[in-house]
Amino acid sequence: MSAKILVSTDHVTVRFPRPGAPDLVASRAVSLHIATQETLGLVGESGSGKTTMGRTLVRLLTPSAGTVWFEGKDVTHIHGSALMRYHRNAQMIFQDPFASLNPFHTVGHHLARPLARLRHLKGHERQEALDELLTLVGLTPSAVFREKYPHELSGGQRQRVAIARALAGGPSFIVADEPVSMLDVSLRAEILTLLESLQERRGLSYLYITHDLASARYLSHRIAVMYGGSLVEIATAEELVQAPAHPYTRLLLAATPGSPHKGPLPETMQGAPDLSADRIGCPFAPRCPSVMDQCSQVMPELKAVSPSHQAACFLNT
Amino acid sequence: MTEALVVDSLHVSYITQSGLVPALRNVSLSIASNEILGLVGESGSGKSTMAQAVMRLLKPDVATVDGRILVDGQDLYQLTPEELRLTRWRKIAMVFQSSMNALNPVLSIQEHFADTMEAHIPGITRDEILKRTADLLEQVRLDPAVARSYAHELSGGMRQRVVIALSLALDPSVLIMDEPTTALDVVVQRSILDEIAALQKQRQLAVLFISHDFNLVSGLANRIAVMYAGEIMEITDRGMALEDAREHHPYTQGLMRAAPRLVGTKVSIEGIPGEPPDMTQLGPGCPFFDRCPERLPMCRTTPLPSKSGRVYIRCHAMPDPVVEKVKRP
Repeated sequence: MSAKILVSTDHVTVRFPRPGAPDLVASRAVSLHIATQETLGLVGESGSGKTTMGRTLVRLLTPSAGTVWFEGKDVTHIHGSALMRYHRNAQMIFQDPFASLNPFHTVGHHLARPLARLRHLKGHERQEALDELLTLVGLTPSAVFREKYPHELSGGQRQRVAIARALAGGPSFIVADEPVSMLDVSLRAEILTLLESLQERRGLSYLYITHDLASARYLSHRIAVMYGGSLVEIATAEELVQAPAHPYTRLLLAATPGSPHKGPLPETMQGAPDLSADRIGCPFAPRCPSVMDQCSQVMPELKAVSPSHQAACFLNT
Repeated sequence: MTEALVVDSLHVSYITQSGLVPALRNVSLSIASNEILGLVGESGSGKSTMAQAVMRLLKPDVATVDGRILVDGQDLYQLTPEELRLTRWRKIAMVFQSSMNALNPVLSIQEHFADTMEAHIPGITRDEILKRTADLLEQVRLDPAVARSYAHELSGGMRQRVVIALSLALDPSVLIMDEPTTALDVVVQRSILDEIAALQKQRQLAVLFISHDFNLVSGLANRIAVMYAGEIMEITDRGMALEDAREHHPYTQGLMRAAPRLVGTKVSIEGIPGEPPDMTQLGPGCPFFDRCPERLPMCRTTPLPSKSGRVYIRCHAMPDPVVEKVKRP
């Protein structure tokens, strides 16, 4: 794997205003990077900020503070034709293949649009590119699938169309937001292995957003864990699963189906993290079994646990 | 061991404009009064139909039902409507898939419990209802003050706990749980599963736990029934260790190889090629035929053998699991 950084964020914060209350901070000063042909898994529970980070990276959202870099260029505030050019390089696959395709349009139509808009292909060339895309994602014979409507496809086939659409502009970076969570187990494996082989053939980098640590471990080179809008731990996939350093990651691992954990979960209470702008300290402090006085006052910085492993916890200092 | 729930040769077909469409075919299983049977299958395999058929919730103009459902020895389909009303919730209760839709938004949690108890326990007093509600809520680790709340004021996990407490209101002997933790975050899911396991032991419940998540069920159930295209392919009491995959039904093997592992050495995964069959076009043979790597020529035309018992495999290419290894002299 090349160590060249393709895309990165520097202290990205995304706030949403709320009437009569402090802003909701969906992601708080998050810095991460993804190298060429690397998969970064991003895991966390609902409301952790993982989808917000994914949308910010492909610039469907503009951060309130911080910078998004792509191939060494600042893309934080680009708009118009520059943003359109960026979307040739950075694309997204959404969770729900039943909602992300238009029921009135054929598969061919879904793919022809980005081929025309992002690559300016016409006529015969466009048709060829379209057939190539369908073949690439395993929807063959392409002449048959081109004419089908979404309701004629299974969930797995729809997600293949969504992947083909994301590939239409010839991107180098794809954010896959829970791409398999709506699919049955036997189809999940097919989509995960398809994403894997596309990475090799097309030299893609992925941000793989999921709540499922087992599939994150399978697909990712490194895994980042978010809680309450903050990045709390990041490590190589094996190190994260085998030697988690942050108490929240330990909790998540213990709770994941297939975990050998027995007995009560390592948490002091249940509850959702406080996302309001006036929160101070570590978002996990109210649930943390190892909580210390300083945790409710100061948010710990990410610190190295090993050369390929960082965690934001005072236990590691 | 007493069988609290027996499902015997159950056939269910939905009545559609284009004729009968089978949903369950020749399903037999039984659950003892102190165990959890996990029922796993993919979408459309008939899991939820199973829950509804066992509760006798399918109306005669919606589906045809053949076979017997015995709850504590009593056939649900032989009961009069009044007898059925008294049996449901007292003997057999259900936790529905979506707690969001199971609770009435304009009733307080307390009123849900009051409705259930008043309908089934004649002459119960208000004080008794309040006391029993508080006890039930505490058993699912909720603050009894939750009784005064409305559904929208509670988190998904809290609502799911309320629905579980409600299912236990009349102390049933059989509990059907249809995907009770789907759509919850993993940490909440795990703590609710731990509570289900504790309640089941404490109350000697027979639980039919329906899920699409193989890993989740393996951690909870005593036995697992694997469903495909409306048929139970296998009931197993073995672990799901990958090394032992060959001892399972070819479809179960496929599911085991498809799921990424959280622990142990990282292994590659593979999907099961193809798609589940169209239920309107089923042939006479094994429904897994088209996707099966072990198939024999006879599998296309010969129906799967009927089986019953605590564990079994329905497959022409596989022997029955060895229940107990008996040493012979």
